[in-house]
Order: sequence, then C-alpha cells, then structure tokens
Amino acid sequence: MDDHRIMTPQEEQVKWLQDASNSVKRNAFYMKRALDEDNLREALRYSAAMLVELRTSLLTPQKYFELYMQAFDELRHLEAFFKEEHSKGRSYADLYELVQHAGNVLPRLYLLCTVGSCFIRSKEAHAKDILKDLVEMCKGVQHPTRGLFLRSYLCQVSRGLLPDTGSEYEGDGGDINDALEFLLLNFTEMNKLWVRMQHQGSGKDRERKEGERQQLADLVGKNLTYISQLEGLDFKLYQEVVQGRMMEQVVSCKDEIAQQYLMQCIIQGFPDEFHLGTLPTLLAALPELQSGVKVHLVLASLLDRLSRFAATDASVVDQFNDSDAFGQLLGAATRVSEQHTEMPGADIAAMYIALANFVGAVYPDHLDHIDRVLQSCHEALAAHGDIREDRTEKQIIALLTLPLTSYDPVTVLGLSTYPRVMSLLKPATCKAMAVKIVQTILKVGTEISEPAQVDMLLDFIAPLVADVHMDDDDEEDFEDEQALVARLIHRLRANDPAQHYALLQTARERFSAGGARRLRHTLPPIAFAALGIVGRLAAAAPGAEACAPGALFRPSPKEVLQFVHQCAAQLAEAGENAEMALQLFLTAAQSASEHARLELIAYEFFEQAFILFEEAIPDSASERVALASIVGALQRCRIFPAEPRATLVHKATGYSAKLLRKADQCRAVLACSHLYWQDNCETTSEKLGEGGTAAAPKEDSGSPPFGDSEEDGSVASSSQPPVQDGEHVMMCLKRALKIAHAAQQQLAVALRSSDTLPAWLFVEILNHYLYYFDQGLSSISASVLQNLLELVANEMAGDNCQADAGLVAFYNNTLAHIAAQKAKPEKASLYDSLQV
Amino acid sequence: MVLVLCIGDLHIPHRATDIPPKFKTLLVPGKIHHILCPGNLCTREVYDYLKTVCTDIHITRGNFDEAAAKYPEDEVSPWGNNEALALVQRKLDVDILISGHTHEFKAFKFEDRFLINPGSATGAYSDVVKDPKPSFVLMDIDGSKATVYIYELIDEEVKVEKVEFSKDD
Amino acid sequence: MGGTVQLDFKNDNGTPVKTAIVKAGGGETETLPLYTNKDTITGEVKVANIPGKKLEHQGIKVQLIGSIELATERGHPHDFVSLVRDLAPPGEVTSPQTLPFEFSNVEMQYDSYRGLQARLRYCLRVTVTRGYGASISKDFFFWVRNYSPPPPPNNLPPIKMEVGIEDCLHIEFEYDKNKYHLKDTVVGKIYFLLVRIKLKHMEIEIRRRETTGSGSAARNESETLAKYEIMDGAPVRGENIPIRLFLSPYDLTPTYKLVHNKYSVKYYLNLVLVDEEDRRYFKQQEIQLLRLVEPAAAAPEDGVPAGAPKVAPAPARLITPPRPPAPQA
Repeated sequence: MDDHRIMTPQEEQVKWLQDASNSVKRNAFYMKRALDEDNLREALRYSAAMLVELRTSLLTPQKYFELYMQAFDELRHLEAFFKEEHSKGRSYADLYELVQHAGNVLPRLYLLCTVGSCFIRSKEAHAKDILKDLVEMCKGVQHPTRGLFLRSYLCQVSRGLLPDTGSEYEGDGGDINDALEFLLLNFTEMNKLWVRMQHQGSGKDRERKEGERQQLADLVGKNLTYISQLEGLDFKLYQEVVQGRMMEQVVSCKDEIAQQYLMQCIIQGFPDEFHLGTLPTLLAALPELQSGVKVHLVLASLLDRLSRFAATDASVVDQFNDSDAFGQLLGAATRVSEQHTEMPGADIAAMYIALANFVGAVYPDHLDHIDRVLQSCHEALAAHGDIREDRTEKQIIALLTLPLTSYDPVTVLGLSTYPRVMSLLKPATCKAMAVKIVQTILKVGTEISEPAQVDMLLDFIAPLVADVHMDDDDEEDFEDEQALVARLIHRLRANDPAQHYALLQTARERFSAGGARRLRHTLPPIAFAALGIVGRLAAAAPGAEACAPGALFRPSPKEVLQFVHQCAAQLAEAGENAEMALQLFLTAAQSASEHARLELIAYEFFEQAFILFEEAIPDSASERVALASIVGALQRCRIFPAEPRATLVHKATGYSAKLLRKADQCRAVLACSHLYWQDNCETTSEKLGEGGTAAAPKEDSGSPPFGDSEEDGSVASSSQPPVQDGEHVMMCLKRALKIAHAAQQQLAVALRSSDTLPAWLFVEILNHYLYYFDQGLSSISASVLQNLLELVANEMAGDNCQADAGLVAFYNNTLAHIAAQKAKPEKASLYDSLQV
Repeated sequence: MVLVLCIGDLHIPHRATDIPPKFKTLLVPGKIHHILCPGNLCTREVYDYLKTVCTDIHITRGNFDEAAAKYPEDEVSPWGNNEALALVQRKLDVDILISGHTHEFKAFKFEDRFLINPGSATGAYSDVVKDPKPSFVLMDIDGSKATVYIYELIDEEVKVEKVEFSKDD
Repeated sequence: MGGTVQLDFKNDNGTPVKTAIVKAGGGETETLPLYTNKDTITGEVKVANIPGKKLEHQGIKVQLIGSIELATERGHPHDFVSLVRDLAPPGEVTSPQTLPFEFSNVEMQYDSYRGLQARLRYCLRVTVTRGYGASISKDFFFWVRNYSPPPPPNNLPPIKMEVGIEDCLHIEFEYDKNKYHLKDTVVGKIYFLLVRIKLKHMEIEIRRRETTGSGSAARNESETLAKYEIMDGAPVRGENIPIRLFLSPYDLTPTYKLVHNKYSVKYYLNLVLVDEEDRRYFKQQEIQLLRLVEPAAAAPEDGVPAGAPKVAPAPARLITPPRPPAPQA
C-alpha cells in the first residue's frame, strides 16, 4: 500500500524508522538463523547488514535511539553466540580480528565492541588493552549522532569490565588509572562529537538542533557518572587527574550547551568534599565559560551543594573557613561578571542571590559576608550599564529580600551597602522593594526600637510613606500598601514607654509629611499605639518618673493623650475620616477617663467626638453607629463629676432625637437610659448588693473646663462612684414608650414593609424595664411593670404581630426570662407580685 | 458534628500587625465549616485571609469596620453587660450568642442559653480590658451539645481550654 | 580418441600433495596442487585404451611447462620452463597403464599468477604421440607460490606523507611499513591538519596494477581488490583516525617486478576521501607485498591466518599522542 501523500516531517520520521526497523528485523532474523546453523561467517555478514541501518542520517536523535535499542537487543544474541563459540574452543582473539574484516566502519565497530566485551570477560586479554583499543578505534566514526551512540554502546557494554580498584579485572588487566583513562577518553571524544552537532548542516534551524542536542546530553554525561562511581576514585586521583581533564574539556569545547550541562554534571556527580578540596580549580573555570552559559545557575548548584554539605556536619564550616571558601566564591562571582560584560544583569544578580543564600545558610552570624556580597554585586551591576530591566530588578529585589529574612532586618538595612544596591532600582521598583521590606519585617516579627532605625526604615520605604510622582497608582494596590505600612507601625516598639513614644513621634512626623490620603491608614495605628503607652504610663507608679540614666524623659500620660488628640484631629482634618476620628476620640476619651484619670482631657475628647457627630457624620446609618459608640463609651466613664457628666449625657441623649427613624430614636433613648445607670462594678447585676439603693450622684463639680488650667488637667483625678440616677432612667424609658407609640401611629398611617413592627420596640422596652426592675430601680414597681406587661400582651395579640415569628419568639423569650427570674429563690420577693 | 470558628476584634492594622503566627498554624483550611465573626477585622485583607480558612463567614459590623463593608450590625448597651447581651439573645432568639468588642474572652450559660465572646484574636488594645490576651474560640456543635475550645496565647504559648454546653441540661 | 589420459600428483613418501585454493574467475574457485621453486614433482600418469581397442602410439611423455601469456600476445604464450620426461617408448596400450614420473629440483622461480592481462601458468602436459596428427595431449595445471625471506625488521620504514589541497584539505597519513606480507595488517593513522570541506567518509582501497610491455609499448591495467571504510562522518581539524586493515581476507599476491621481463604487478594503498557532493580526493601509495613462509602447523580456515595473535594487536602502535594543532592557513 503505497501512500503517495506528501508527508509531514513527523510522518517521514515514522516511515523512515519503520523501514530501517524492518530491515533490522529481517537481517536479525537471518543472523539468528545463521547462528542456529552455526555458520559464523553468514551470521557476521547479516549482523553487519543489520548494523548498516544505523548508518542512516535521516532520523532525529529520538528515533535513532529507538533503532539503536532494537539493534542493541539483537546484538545480545550475537554476544551469546560468541560465548558459545568460545566454549567450543574458538579464541576471542580470532573473533576479535574476524569481525574487523567488515568493510563498513560503523557495523565493524559495533561488532568489535561486542566481541571486545566478551574478550575482556574471558580474561584472555587484558582489559586495559582491549579498552584502549576500542576507545581509540571508535574514532573512525566522526558523525556526531552515530558516533555518540556508538560510544554510548561502548560505554554500556564495558560497564563492569573496567579494571577498577577491587574489580576482578584489576591486576594484569590494568588498574584504576586505566579505567579512568578509558572513561575520560570516551568522555572527551563524545563531548567533541556532541559539540560538533551544533555546527552540522546549515545554520538555520539552530533551535531544533539545540533541542536535539539536549536529548543526547545524558549519553555524554553517563561517562562522568561512571567515573564518579569508580571504587578507586579517591580525592587524590580526582584532584590530580580527573578534575583537570574534565575541566580542560569543558572549557576548551567552547560550547554553551555542553558547558552548561557538564558543569552541572560535575557539580552534581562528584562528592562535596571533592568540590571543597578543589574549589580554586572549579571556580577558575567559571569565568572561562562561554558568555551564553548561565553561570549563575552553575554557581547556584555548587553553592547549594556546599551549603547542604555544611548543614551535615559542623566541622565542614571550619573547613570552609580554613580554605576561605566564601572569599573564593565571591572572587569567582566577581571575575565572572568582569569577564562577561554582556552577561544579563538579571543573571549577575541571580549569581549574587545564590551567594547570599549560601551565606545565609552557612554563616548565619556573618552579616559582614552579606555586606561583601552586596558590595560586590553593586560594583558588578554598577559597572554593567543599564540594569533597569524588569527581570534584573526582580532579581535585585530578591537579593535584597534574602538577608532580611535570615538576619535581623533592621541591622541588614543598616549596612551601608544595602541602600547602594537599592539605589540601582527604578523608583517604581523601589516601591515594590519597599513592600517587600515591610512584608519581611512583618513576617519575621522584628521590633524597631530606636528612633534612628525608624528614620532609616522609613527612608527605605519612602515610596510608601510619601507620594512619589508616578502615574501607575492603582487604588487597590495603594490600599494594600498602606495597610502594610499601618501594620508595620505596631512593630515600632520599645519596653521603655518614653522610647516607644519617641518612635511614634518620629513616625508621625514622617507620615504627616506624606500627604493626606495616607493619614487615614497611618494615623489610627499610631494613635492606638500611643493609647497603649498611656495605659502603661498610667499603670506605673506615679513616682516612677526617674528613668534609666541617659534615657528620655518620661512623658506624662497627658502629653501622650495630647499626641493622640493631635492624631485624631489631623485625621478628621484630612477629610472623609470623621467616623474613624470620632471612634478614636471616644477610645481616647475612655483611656483618659479610665486609665489616665484625666477628667478635663476626657471631656475634651468627648467634645471633639460630639463636634464630629454634629458636623461630619455623612449619613443616618453612620449616625446611628456613631451615637451607639458615643453612648457606649460615655456609659463606662467614671471620671466625670456630676455637672460635666450631665452636660455630656444631656448632649448624647439629645442626639437620639436627631435620628431619622422612630425605631432608631427609640432604641437610642433606651441605650441612653444606661448613661444614668452604671454598674457598681464590672460584674453582673447578680452581685449587686442591695437592690434599689441608687447611689446619689455627686453634685460636687469644682473642675474648670478643659484648657482653662493646664496644670489641673495633668493631675489625675480619682474615679467617681457609679451613677445610678433612677429618675432620669425612668424619663428615658417613658420617652422610649412615647416614641414607640408615635411609631405605632405613624405605622397606622403608612405601613412600609421595610419597617419592623413597633411591637418589637415595645418588647425591647419591656426588656429594659425588666433590666432596671431587676437592678432594683425604685421607680419601677411591680404594678408599673404589670401594666407594661399587659400593654405588650395586648399589642402582641394583634394579627400582624402573631404573624411575625421573630417577634413572637422575642416575646416568648422575654416571658420565659421573667419566669426564670421568678424561679430564683433570691429574686422571689421581687418578682412575686408579677403576673404573667 | 459541625466546627464553628468564632474569631473577632482583630483590629488589623489599627491596633495589631497580624494574627499571631501560632494561631495561623492552627487555622488550617478545610477543617472549619463556618466562621462567626463579631466584627472589627478591619481590612479586606483579613477578610480574605479568613475566606481561605473557610468560605462560609458570617460577620457583624464592629465600630471600626468600614461602613462600606456592609456587614449586618446590632448593638449592645451597656457594652459587655451580660444582661444586655441576654436581651439581644432573646431578641434574636438564638441558643448561642457570639459577641465581641470587649476583647475579653467569655463563655457562660445564661438561662439555658450560651453567651460567647471569643475575645480579640490579636490581643488588640482595648478601652475595656487592660492588656488583652489573644484568643479565639472553636465550637464543636453536635445536636444540642456544644463543646467550646478556647485558644489563648499566653506568653507565646497556645493554651487550650474546653467548656461543654448542653441545651437540655 | 582412442584412449584416456589421467595424471595424479603424488609424493614419493606418500604424504598428500599440498593444495591451494585459487580463484578461477566468475566467483568460482578451484583447488590445485601447490609447489614451490626447486620442489621435486612426482606422480603417476595413467593411460587407458578404449576397452576392446588397442591404443597404438609413438611414445608417451610428460612435459613440465611454465608459460607466460599476455593479453596482447594472445595465443602465443611464452614458455620459460620446459622439461620433458619420456614415459614409454612407441608401442601400444591394450590395458590401462600407470607410468610414474619425477621432475626433481625444478626451477620454478616465478609464482603462478592470474591477472587481467598477464597469466603465468605451470602445467604438466601428457602427450601420447600418434601418427597422422591424432596425438592425445592433456594439461594438468598446478600452482606455484614462492616465499620471500622475512625483511630485516630494522629496514621497514613507515610511509608518511603530508598531502592536501591548498586551503581546503590538509592531511598527514602514515602506514606503519612499506612492506607487508600477505597475512599482514596495515596499521596507520590519518591526521587532519585542515578540513574545510565537508567529508562524508573515508576508505582505503587496495589496488593492483599490472604493467606489460615496456617503453612506449607499456600497458597498465589497474583493478581495485578491496574497499575498506575507515571513517564515517566529517572530521574536524586535529582529528586522528586510526587505520587497521587486515590483508588476509583479500586475494592478493606478492609484488612482482618484471617477471621474465614480461610483466610487473604492483600494489597500492589508495586513501580515498569522499565529500558530501561525492567528490573523491585520493592519494595512492605503493606498498610492497611479500609472501612469507607460513608456519606449517595450522591449516587456514575461514580466512583466519594460522598464527593469529592471541591477544589484541599491540595498541601502542595505534594510539597517537595528541599534537599541537596545525597553524591555520
């Protein structure tokens, strides 16, 4: 069936292989028949005819390999026959000559290798003589692919037959030197053939050729593997013979692919201690390699091996030091970059990354080595001209990031070489680097505890701290970056509060210069960190002002609170941050009240929060949240004497009426009721001593308003007793009821589905009544509560209420709560009269 | 058996750098079925992180979460008051109420219902509690029983405590 | 014809006569009795009459003839040896007769040879002379090989030569000797000094040249007796290709110089390099071939010479130390 289509190159390959393979099969068949008939002459004739197929130039290395394997298998029959012939009395010497009568060189040499291996195995000849002869005769095949496979065959059939130390072929058959010589020669010849492949044919399909060559790399490398596996190969031989011969071939072949591959082979194939012992020779070769060789990968492999070697045994590091391994490696990197002026910057940087990795793994306490690596890298790159390629910059970033993780980042940043290398980057890349630095510090968890370090660090991350004129600012990136910087602020810390405060001051100063839009992110963490300091300062004994000699003056809590005040104010001014600023003021107010006990300042903070509430909260939902926060914060403050407290509470209560929806107003008023009723202590009401005894609010208020007297402000006041003003609570509760009624009427006018039923409000109010009843508020008698219960019960009887499952559950839960309270013996008297 | 992670009041980046690494190693993706978070994360990045632990997250809005995040909200007044929390619980008609804000871990039974405050996972600064310890809570809910594991970071060591709740007791 | 004639070569002492297998053209071989100069040739001639008829004759003789026949003188062989033994006086044969003969110490200085245009033959011719041109005559051929003394080992200069085409190809080749015996091995190497052409392969040919006549009438005729590929693929400058060519498989003769002033046979090694366009570059070098006495013991078999080395050929001769690269033109 002839196919006359025009075939693709792949189809052609398949067909050619098929043809050749058929011919191999056919001739192998005749060969085997001749072997069965004991006809040596014919068997040799057909085996040669079979091997003639290997003379093809048509096949790609891959397909050629298939054919080779087929022939390889068939040759095993011949080999068995040779052994049989030998046992019948024919000498291998005869056979060795006989096969050489073949007219074609390639089949002849395959046959010669086959007989040769039997010859050695029989020990009728000295292994070294046969090996020497074979490796020499194979020079007759100069065609790269064919030669490579032939020599690969030689390598394979002679495996185990070398006069290696301890081998049965040692002695008269030669010694380790002969074994080495054989492998080295074969390696050299194979490498020459392999390199030559590149220059065959036209220069056009360079890529295809390179691909095909890569496929054959392992044939060449196998020689080196076998060398490394020789029993007799000791360090002395390696140093005096093997390494020199290998390196000579690697360097002199002047071929990128070969050099790249072989250097890796050598590095991976031989023991670490060999490399360490011959480091100068190995390193000396690096600058000699072709410019296209990725020397950084070679060096990285070597360094990787050496560092793993060092990890196995502590004494190895001593050996490193004795031979100044680091100095040698660094020197080699320098020479490589000097030698190869056209080496891509990225590769140069990659080379130094490998070095930095090595230093990090082997010398975890030698920051000076990192310094030298960076310095050398800087020199190499600076001499290199344009290195502002993305690829290069990525590598530089990687290089700069490395020591940050293995050493104390702040100390690393303190190296003079660090900023020098960083200065090689484009401004945009500097930003990426800055992000990396911050991420690393966060990951490692370094603490930055010196103001000078803060300055230095912020210098490094300057692109994140202040606007750099760039047009590529992505909003989301910006947010992420600033979140990082914000997180970094918590890494500025010192045990000494004064020191810590100094750090924050430094940071704030720098951030303030960086533009408004960053402040939203950077000020809150600074403010919170400062509040933490307030707590620590306040907790310290008042007399602890005296610090360690030379330390900063201990700031007063007031001073730090003022700092927080400035932060919050600045944040508010920066625009669109009113809610955050308000929350900050409230938090600060509590700190001033509960930690620092500074009444005036606490007051001022509330004032500021109120101003923001009145002027800057953008929408009703935010108002609701803000008001809840105000009430929550104020509820807890115990610093205020009656009058200023009344002012603040009054204002807050007033705000509840400003809320848009009745339901919100109602709930806000309920919340405000708690402003008049503080717990006696932090724990729950059960622990309250005598119910119903509301402590009278302290009317004494001698404090002047904030700002009138700075002196007074700094004097810590003591806490006021809890406020328990039943009258005002009742007013709130009643107002809540009123609003609920109003809401009910409003609802009757226009029922909007989005609104919750006013009955919710009634149940909530009922719950608050219960709360205060339980707290012992005297104005809430059982009858008052009973009335309310009935009111709510009526309300709940309505159809629309019964339809709202959530509401019903709420109501039932409330009733269950009352029942539970009633069941408690200690509450029995209080709840007894209540009918549910 | 359902595993529910309760974690909140992280306040990153305002008050803390990150969730402690020792906690992060505990929060392995794929084990937890639900996350309940009583607010104050405060950035999207943290939300994204929790998403990697478990995609089913329920969050309420804390006072430092941005309104834009659109988390549902509910307020408790006074803050951290058990009675007040119980009120909310009655209102929401839930067996277990997870609350936050105070940065103080709490887990107790109140009239056959449970109140849990997982504290602050970062041990963030609080105006309520002094020097809060980082903590979070893992609930193992099995029918009417809940086993609550409290993870606390004390002196850089994770301490775990166990509390068991059963509704029908 | 009145009767038959048969001749058997037989040694006096009863040992079998040595034989040689000789190519007879057309792929055929024949086995002939083998002798050497100064050998004594003995045997028996058998003459038989046709049964029932008597064979009358004027005498029976056997002649030993050595002749040279050139293609140019076809039909006119030149006898350089002619000896005769009378076996029987005139008479008649009525029953088969066996007549022994002997030529002792025969002068057979020339080897038998079958070439393209020259033949050197030896035969025993038995003639039963009868009247009227009805004589019975039959030739019995035998083969003669002579042996040279081994050449003095210190007088075997190698053949070494540098050849090339300017700026294109420069090689240096070396054959280890200028004289080889017929079972010898040519060992040598090719060293590439400059290669600017893309070679495909390289082979060595063994060529034989016959020269007949002399002066202006001289005629040369060459034939290639062997082609032996020694290199596959294209070498580069600095490569060294080993040569090891076994001569035994080929049908060679010693070199003959002016055999009886009639013809000469010379042998050449022709190194041929073929490039990718099938152009052939070659260099021919004469070698002298000698036949040395073989050790008597082993009989040749399968073309393997009897004294084949029991170890590999001495490798020392095969491995050439690397040389400095030749200066570029």
